[in-house]
Amino acid sequence: MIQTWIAEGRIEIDQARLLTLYAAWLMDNVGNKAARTEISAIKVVAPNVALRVIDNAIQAHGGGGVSDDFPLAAMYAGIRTLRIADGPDEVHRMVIARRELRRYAESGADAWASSGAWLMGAGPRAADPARRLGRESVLRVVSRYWPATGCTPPAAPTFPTHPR
Amino acid sequence: MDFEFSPKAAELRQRLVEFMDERIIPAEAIYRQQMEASGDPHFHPPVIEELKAEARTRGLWNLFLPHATEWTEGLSNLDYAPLAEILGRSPLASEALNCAAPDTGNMEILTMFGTPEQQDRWLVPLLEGEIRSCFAMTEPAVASSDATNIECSIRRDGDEYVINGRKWWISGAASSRCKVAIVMGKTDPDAPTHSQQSMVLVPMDAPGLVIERALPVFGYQDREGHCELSFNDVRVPVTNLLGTEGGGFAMAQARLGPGRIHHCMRTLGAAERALELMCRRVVEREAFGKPLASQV
Repeated sequence: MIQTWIAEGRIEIDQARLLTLYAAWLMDNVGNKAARTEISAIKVVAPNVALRVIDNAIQAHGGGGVSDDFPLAAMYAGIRTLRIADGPDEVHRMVIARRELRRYAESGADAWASSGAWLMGAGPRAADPARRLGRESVLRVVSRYWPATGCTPPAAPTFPTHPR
Repeated sequence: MDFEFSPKAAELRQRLVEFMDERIIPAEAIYRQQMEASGDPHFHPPVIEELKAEARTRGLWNLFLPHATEWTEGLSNLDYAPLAEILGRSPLASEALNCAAPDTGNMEILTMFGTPEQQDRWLVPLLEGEIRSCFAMTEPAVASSDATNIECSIRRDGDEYVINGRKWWISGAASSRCKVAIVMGKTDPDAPTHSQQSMVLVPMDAPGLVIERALPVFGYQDREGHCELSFNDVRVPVTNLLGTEGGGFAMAQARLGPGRIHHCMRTLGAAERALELMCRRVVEREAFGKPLASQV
């Protein structure tokens, strides 16, 4: 049990750190707007990971954990506010889901075009110059989705038509 | 992509780790004594000023700005992230390096959108660590998770703006060192949804601005305070407008980007410290004939 808490803590902290560094890298290299999904993702992940680790640490400390002899109780209280402040978890999940779904919802566009075209300066949001990026940046963003294939778009899937 | 520390980040990281070990962590006990002796939950203990002076001499000051300004070199988000994680290990560290929220976000938008006069009056003393600030957006009467709900009124009257509204969870406002609030409200409720909002700079001693109370979190009083504020016909000159009328929503978005990296990395630093405390505890204590660490 206690070893599980320790192992899970190590795994989750390291996962969250890599995701946060990835978001920071995207902000530096592609821009804040293009990194919006990842920025929302870390805002959900980091406080939740920290709260699970701190909660287990409190449990391991017994009564000491909830007292002020250790910093754990105050840490828990402070970090719990971060699931609400600067956008609650639910708003960030909504941002992520909407952006994910947007790639499938644009009329006449397949997943490839809708994920990349607006960055190149086409599509309904092209009027906003801040959203237009160079081809290199677009390839960097899009290659996240097809990293191993040299950005070859996948064939559009065909679905069976069900009789009503 | 490459997450290796750049030479600059590696050098700063080394200096910061030394500062944490030599000064910040040992200062935690002194901080606690000074806070308890004062009897005031919003006391500004002298040890903080000592740590700030020391951090500055060590070149660990204002590291948070992601772009170069006339005051700072600027550090990329990826370079600052590992430093923020180290800062998260102690509640004293961010303020000691002048890298504490909400000032960091406020300083950032002042560098981006402030006029030279606004920068002289507010940004420079913030960068010098002489004053602190708060950011007033969230309101008790509406679901502020949707920022378009904000109701606070900022109405132009001649050469002045007149502000009326109520805010809460305004972090930092209880500190006597907090001298300015960046207030978000509506200048034009009839404009398109995301162009109704503006930000104005309001001195904390402006007549009509009242700190109603400092809200506790699970019973804890924060030293800087999470306050409820009321604005009752507060008047500021129109030159206190930050950016443009109607630009408040976009500026609020800009303010939060790098701040998210800071918050998340600091949070992970706190999680690392909790994990460390847990490991030390379970190795030292025994129950049912064996260390807690070997209980399954």
